[in-house]
Amino acid sequence: MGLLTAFFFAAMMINIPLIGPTTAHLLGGAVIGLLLGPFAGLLSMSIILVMQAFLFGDGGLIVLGANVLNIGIIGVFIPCIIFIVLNKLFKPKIGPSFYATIFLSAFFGDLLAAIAAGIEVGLSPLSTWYGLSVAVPAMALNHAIIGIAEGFVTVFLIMALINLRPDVAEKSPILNKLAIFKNKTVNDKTPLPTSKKLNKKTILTGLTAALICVIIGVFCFSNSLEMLDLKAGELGLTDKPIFDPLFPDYSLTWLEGPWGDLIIGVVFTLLLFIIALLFAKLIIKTKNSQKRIPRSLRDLVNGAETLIYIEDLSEKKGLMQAIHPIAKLVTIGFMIFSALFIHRLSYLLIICIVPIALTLFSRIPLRQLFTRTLFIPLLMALISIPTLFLTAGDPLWTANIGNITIAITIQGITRLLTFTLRIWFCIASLSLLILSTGFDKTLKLFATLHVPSLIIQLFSLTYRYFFVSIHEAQSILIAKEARTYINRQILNLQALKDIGTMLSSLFIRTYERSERVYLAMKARGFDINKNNKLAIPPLHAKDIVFTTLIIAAFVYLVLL
Amino acid sequence: MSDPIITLNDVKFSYPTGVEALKGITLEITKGERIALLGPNGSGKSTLILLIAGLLMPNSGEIKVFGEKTNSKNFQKWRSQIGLVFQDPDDQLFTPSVIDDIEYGPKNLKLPPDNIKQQSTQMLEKMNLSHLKSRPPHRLSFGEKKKVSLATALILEPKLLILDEPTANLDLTSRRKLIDTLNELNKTGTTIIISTHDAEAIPELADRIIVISHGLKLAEDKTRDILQNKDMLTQSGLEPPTIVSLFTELKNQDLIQKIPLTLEEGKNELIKILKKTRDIK
Repeated sequence: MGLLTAFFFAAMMINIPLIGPTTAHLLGGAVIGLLLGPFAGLLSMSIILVMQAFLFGDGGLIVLGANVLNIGIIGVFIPCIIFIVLNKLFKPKIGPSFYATIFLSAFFGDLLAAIAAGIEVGLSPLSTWYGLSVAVPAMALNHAIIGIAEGFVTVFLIMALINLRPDVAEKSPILNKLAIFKNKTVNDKTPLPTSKKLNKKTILTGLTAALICVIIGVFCFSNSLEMLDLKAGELGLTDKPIFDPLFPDYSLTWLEGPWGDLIIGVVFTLLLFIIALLFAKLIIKTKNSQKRIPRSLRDLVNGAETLIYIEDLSEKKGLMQAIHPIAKLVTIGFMIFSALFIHRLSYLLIICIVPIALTLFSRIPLRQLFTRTLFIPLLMALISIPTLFLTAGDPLWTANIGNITIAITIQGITRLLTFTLRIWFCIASLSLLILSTGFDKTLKLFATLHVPSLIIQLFSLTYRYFFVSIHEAQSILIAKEARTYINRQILNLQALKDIGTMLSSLFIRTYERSERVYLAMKARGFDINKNNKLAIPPLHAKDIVFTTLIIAAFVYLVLL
Repeated sequence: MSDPIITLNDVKFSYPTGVEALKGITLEITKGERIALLGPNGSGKSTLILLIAGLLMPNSGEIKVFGEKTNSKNFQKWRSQIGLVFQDPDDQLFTPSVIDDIEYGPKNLKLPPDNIKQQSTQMLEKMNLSHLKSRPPHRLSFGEKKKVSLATALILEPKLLILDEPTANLDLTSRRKLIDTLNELNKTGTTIIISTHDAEAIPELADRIIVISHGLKLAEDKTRDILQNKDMLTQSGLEPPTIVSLFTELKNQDLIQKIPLTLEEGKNELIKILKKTRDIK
């Protein structure tokens, strides 16, 4: 029943950004990969990323594909490969050297995922201002530090696992390749059911979906810039990317040549890192003085509350909630698509009214729509400030710095506004779709689109047990807090060890629950080979009217 | 003697971690019986239940269900006839909404969709759950979750219903309702097996008790005989119901002859004694 481990990791993703001043997400790819095997690991990681994108608006749908590549494929496969190679080479016994191999695999997994993201950033359309030579070291440096933390947590987790539930470790497709387990007699040789059930079709579908996401993302926003930043934001320190791209822009003028870029890149990254650190520390201090609840706990609770809030919204009796999910999907898809062909600022302003109006009609508070959607467009606008100076046209304002002349053009401003509005429109429309459709309806929507039932099942289980995991994590955290007397602010080994053991106990609890749930499913006739088709309610006239009306309006605007 | 539904013959089971949960259990359960598996925590009750429901397969020994020997391959055909309610409703309910969970079993059996709709609507009404229909399980109270869990098992109209610690953590009203529901089911012919360490609830829920301790069958007898055997119960880490303890004391002082099991019986017994003393005066 390895399926269910997916939900554990869903919790883990929010669970981890906790200790020390940095708010970095650990990726967890190494743990998943080592325990479930690379393929199952990829699947569960992808599911986590999709859920994050959908439910929290974290990262966003556009960069999903890239994320799956970075965190899912690289972040999961690389640790597995490194681990196997190292173990083939040195054949360590359980002990320091064995754990060292785990540490190294997790560390390099993180690092390579980060470097990959850096390369993508560098290659993305913004590379004019923000080249490979800057992006790669920037990402690598951050993640070297995160990687160390990740490495330790992974080690402690697996250490605890081997001590507490050796049988689970033995069933792992990667760990059981080791000589250390060979000499033991195992009662139960059945592998984790997931690995058995993951047929090629499922994996292919997943990969294709990821690929489609990448293509759509690149296509939709080919002349826009946000590919890079979301990615950077997703992978790295959330508050960093805001500054990142700006500095290289200025720096290029003074120092030329690849070496200059590199040096400046590294120097600025270091600087930014320190700034971000101080910043984060400041935030934590102020937050801590307000509330004495540990941050990680607050994160968990916030996460759960967001979801519950969405559920409430999707059950309100409003316009969008009454529309059939398929009709909604088609409509919103068309809205986004046509937005790409609308270039005039005034028309863009008009279409931006549509999601706002629909939100009002659906009785969703506007505040909810805006808090979910404003961050990314503003970020985008900030990053694309150089557009103001780089677009040729009528100057509105000029300044001379030394012998360089900088000018802001009207065309530049228009371009920036158009760009920001368009992004906001797309994100707002998607958010509306998510806010007005409950999770189980979304799943049924997937089913109509012929997504394999195994994947749907995974999603629904992940969603269901996300809450249970949060609950369990919460109780562990509270229990820990109750017995913690020293408030640790800096990242230290003991803290990492604590997280590792805490996570492993959460993991084992979760694993044992997953075993029970599997039995409960079996008790009611669950059979992995049978396909369950979910019943979908039929389309009504009102759905068709709604869709047609909106599509017609947008066609008119595009043709105008 | 009616037909045996479940027969276990020297069944042994160990978990992969090496824990020897069952060390050779032999028992027989016949149609229409109300059985309680009584034992302290970690005695092997839950394992036994999973074996009976065909969710685990024994390491040795044989299990017969409805007279037929079982193995991991042929068990699927009895699934719809054996309903199992887990102790923790969070294990039992695994779909995004109550209605999905209730319809999960019938859907797996590939019943026609109209029938499923009708059945689930009836079930929701019968259990007073209609208002929770589209609620996700994580937003139910514990008692509600328990009720939904029971509904998910009952919808298939099983001939044998197995419940793991059904009364645990329930408030008194919910507990009363549960007991009534189960007894009604039994009247229509459903065989019921419950596992519990709560002797208090047993007199109303079971005719026969099988005591499990350390993976072995310690005793097996009519509810009355087992619950009145205070020494045996204490020895296996259990306690008789309060009323039994009280009246055992009285009996030891030769004040009464018969030990009651339920409040009702206790009341009658007390009235008898009190009347006698009044007559003597």
